[in-house]
Amino acid sequence: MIKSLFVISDGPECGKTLLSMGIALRFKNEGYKVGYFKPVATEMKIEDAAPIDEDVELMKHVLDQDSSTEDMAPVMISHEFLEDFTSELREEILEKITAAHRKLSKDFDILIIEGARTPNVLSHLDLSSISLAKIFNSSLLIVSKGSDDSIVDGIVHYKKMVDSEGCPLVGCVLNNIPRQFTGRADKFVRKALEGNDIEILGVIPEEKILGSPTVEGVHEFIGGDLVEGKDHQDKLIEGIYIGALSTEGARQYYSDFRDKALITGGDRADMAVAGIEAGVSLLILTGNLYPPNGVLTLARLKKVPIILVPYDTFTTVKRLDAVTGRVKLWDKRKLEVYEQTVSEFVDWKYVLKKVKGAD
Amino acid sequence: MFNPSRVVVAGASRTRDKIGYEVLRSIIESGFRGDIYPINPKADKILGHKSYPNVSEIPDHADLAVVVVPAESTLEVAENCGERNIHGLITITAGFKEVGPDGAELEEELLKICKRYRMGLLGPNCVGMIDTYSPLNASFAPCMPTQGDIAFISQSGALGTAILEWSAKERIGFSKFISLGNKADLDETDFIDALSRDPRTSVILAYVENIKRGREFIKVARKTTLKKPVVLLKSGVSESGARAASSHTGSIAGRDVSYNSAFKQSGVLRANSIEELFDYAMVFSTQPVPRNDRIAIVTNAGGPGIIATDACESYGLKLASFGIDTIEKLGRDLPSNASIYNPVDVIGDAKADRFEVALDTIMEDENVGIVLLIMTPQIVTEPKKTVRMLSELHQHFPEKPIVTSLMGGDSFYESLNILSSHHIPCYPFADRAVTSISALVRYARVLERPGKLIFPRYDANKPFVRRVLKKVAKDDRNVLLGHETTAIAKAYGINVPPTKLATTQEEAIEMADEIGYPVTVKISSPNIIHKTDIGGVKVGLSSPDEVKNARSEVLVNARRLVPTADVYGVEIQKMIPKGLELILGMSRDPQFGPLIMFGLGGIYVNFLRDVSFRLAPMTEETAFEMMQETKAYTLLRGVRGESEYDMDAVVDTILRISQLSLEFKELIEMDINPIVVYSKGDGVSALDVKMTIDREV
Repeated sequence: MIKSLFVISDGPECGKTLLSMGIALRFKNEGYKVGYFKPVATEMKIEDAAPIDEDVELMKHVLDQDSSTEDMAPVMISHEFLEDFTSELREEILEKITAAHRKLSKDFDILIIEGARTPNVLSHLDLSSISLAKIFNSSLLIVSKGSDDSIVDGIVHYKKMVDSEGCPLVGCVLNNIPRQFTGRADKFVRKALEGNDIEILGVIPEEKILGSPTVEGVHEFIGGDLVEGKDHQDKLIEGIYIGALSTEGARQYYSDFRDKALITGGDRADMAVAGIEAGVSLLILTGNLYPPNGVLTLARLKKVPIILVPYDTFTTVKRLDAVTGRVKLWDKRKLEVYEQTVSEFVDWKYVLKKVKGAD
Repeated sequence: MFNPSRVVVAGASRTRDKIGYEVLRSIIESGFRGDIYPINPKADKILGHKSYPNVSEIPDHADLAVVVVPAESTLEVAENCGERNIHGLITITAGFKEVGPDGAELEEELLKICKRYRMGLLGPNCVGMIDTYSPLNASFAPCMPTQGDIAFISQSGALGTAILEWSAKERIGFSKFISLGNKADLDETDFIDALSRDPRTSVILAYVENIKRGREFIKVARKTTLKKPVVLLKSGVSESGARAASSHTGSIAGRDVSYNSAFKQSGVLRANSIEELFDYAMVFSTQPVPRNDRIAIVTNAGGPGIIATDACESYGLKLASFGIDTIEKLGRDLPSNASIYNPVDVIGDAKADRFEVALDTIMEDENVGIVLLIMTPQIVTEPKKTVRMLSELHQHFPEKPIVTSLMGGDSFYESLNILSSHHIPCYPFADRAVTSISALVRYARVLERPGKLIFPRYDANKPFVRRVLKKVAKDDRNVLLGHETTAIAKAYGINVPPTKLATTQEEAIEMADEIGYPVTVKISSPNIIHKTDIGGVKVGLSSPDEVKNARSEVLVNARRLVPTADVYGVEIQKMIPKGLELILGMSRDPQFGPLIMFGLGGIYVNFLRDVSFRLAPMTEETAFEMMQETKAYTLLRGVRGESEYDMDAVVDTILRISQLSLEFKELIEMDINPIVVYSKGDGVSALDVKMTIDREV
């Protein structure tokens, strides 16, 4: 069977896709034909009446993979999946997955297989990520994120499940680790995991750029009128501030405004100007109140986009919350950053050795 | 721009009521003695002057061009003016930055052309400029003001024209009027600088909504105020005003404390209203700076005398104590029911002769620096005779300022004219007169300042500070941790208790042993500013066990109350003895640079607000001055049997913070609260130091 690395995480949003991408590219650079496979996808959107998985689209593009998206992601699970439950469902799904796997195996030397949102998905059909890894004879890699010592327990828990299925575990990667925790992770967490026979193959520090949506991404979610800054929609937004205080009261927060989105009323010229001067990435003006010329002029000078929305602040914030959970990775800068990050912080050579050497 | 020999009017019009017509008419009617070149491709002659199709065709070199063509044509006109070596461009035309981003781009282009040809640009979107001595009215102001020695710079064209019309009624004369417009190039600082050298100007007034080049303004204003008074009204002080100002100017309204500090330190007198602006102008343009600040009040009405006395006290002015000779003479020569002490009440039936007795005697008294005459209309009052007498008396004592308040109506009309013709200021009410006198006194103090300023420089470990700040930026933080801030403070010679960061329990105990008990444990996180509020500080720890428990407790509290905070560990800090708690701070003002704060510290500082501000760089005198403005200063001098505290050490620390903030522009905020002061000679200790940087600088 084709050599494969099955990447799972002990929770959602741990960075499986980016890690898979980084490792795949490193393997490719070593001369291997590397393909990406996501047997069970849960994060889909509908485009042209068809469901697609954005991660698959990304990987297809980054790896320049010729395979069809149906083969790369043969099974898409909706949030109402139990409505489709039948006694034959397991066989149907397994057949789709193994057929796709067979096809991809013909075209590549190594498959990077990404697990579902969490390893538990489809456990009720005995098709969890670990079960699939066993079927494919894959080596497993666990990705985890966290900011305190409790990061250990999720990893150890899944390691025990991997062991009970008899699958080989290559090791784990700690991803998106806050900088103040990396030292501790290297010292205490490593010791605790090694005591459970788990190798840490990388401690990747937090990189804000990766979790940040662009102005364009935000505009897509919240709607409204982009009244200024059409050419600067690639700016990244690292957080959100609401400008409701007086300018004097808000002064203590100005140093934090840089690279953030600032939401304020269109009649708050003082706050808008302060935000622009402080280096916000985006100004969102609520209540459909058109800002005065002075604000527009300054925004153009400082290259700050302005979006005018008809809703109130609360509604705008709720919509923005949804954006940060669905950050598009399709930003060239982010991809470059991540590729370099994996090279620098992950012992991918060890991973390759283990994958190649697996029976 | 001042005193041109030839003026071009680009966009001159043959049609009455058009700006191009009115501006040309203003220039002609102002009596300008030089050549005037109207530019209009469709006219041969306008208002009796030969017109030219464009600037390139004027016969001789011109110094100044007034531009009133439509906005989109200004670039071509500017190019033509540049090619003809015209030095000054007054662009009255609107439609630039004030109309939005497209207009701002046009303004930028216009500025580029002016810079290329080294032409000074006034405006655009301004009313123009008036010089009453040239004479030249290159504006569309409705009238030419009376000649005088007051120069008025206005960021609002509309306010400017309103003032010009009002001034005619009030008999106030101007040397120059300048409407700044959008301040694309020339701004208030440029004109204050130019007017400082203008022999026709003895007082400079300004109305601004913002100051473009804050630090340059301070330098120029400081030099200027040693020669002549600068009185300035700045709007946008209130929350709503600031909002309106931001709307209008598209710039941060700026902290009023920064402006106040800038004015104090440069000797600029701040007016709080349009009325005050011109009240001050009146007194400065007519009266000398007093040699002493003691005021004598003479009145024929007790009530206004008391009001004036109250006003003096509220402004911190002192009433003169008369010499014994003065008192004896007044006692002898005034009726027995008159009041012979200051304020002198010559009572309601006083005629001119009684006023003369009082004023003559008082003017001779060496203890009197300034005289205020308050007159009310009683049936026997002789206002004209009185003011004529006063005017003559003033000539005998030209070094003593005289200010009057004739509190009445029509009966004083002619007297007002007499006073005005003799350059004696008169105010309708006594309190306004006192406000103006206070400005004279303040200016006298400005003139006492040393011409040359000495800013102390301290040795500091700048490379170390640079390394620390670089590491913080690399960590993607803008808030420094406690052990970093104390290290930087130490590098600048500021006394700090030993502070170390412990990331593990073992480290915490080791460090406490090293530093020496008792110690304090504080949570270390850039996201937790008020550590005490979340139970993030434990003090008075005297053993390893106490340190261990304290560490656990602050970590639990932090995780529970601020779960999203990035926690780096805990700081172990040596406990210091108690003393007087002060606060020192710095915040970087976008216009003026580092603004230093001093005041009474501790956890209630935001509520007590006993603080004062000054801008860096500072001299020792400035540092002392700012301390003296607070109640904390009284405490520093020692109260209730306490001995004096170490003020020199406080001044020293203020100056070191000033230097640190000037040398590291990436530092945008600093807070030492508390800085603990000890008895004289025992120094200070900076207990809690916070710093914020701008990573992009």
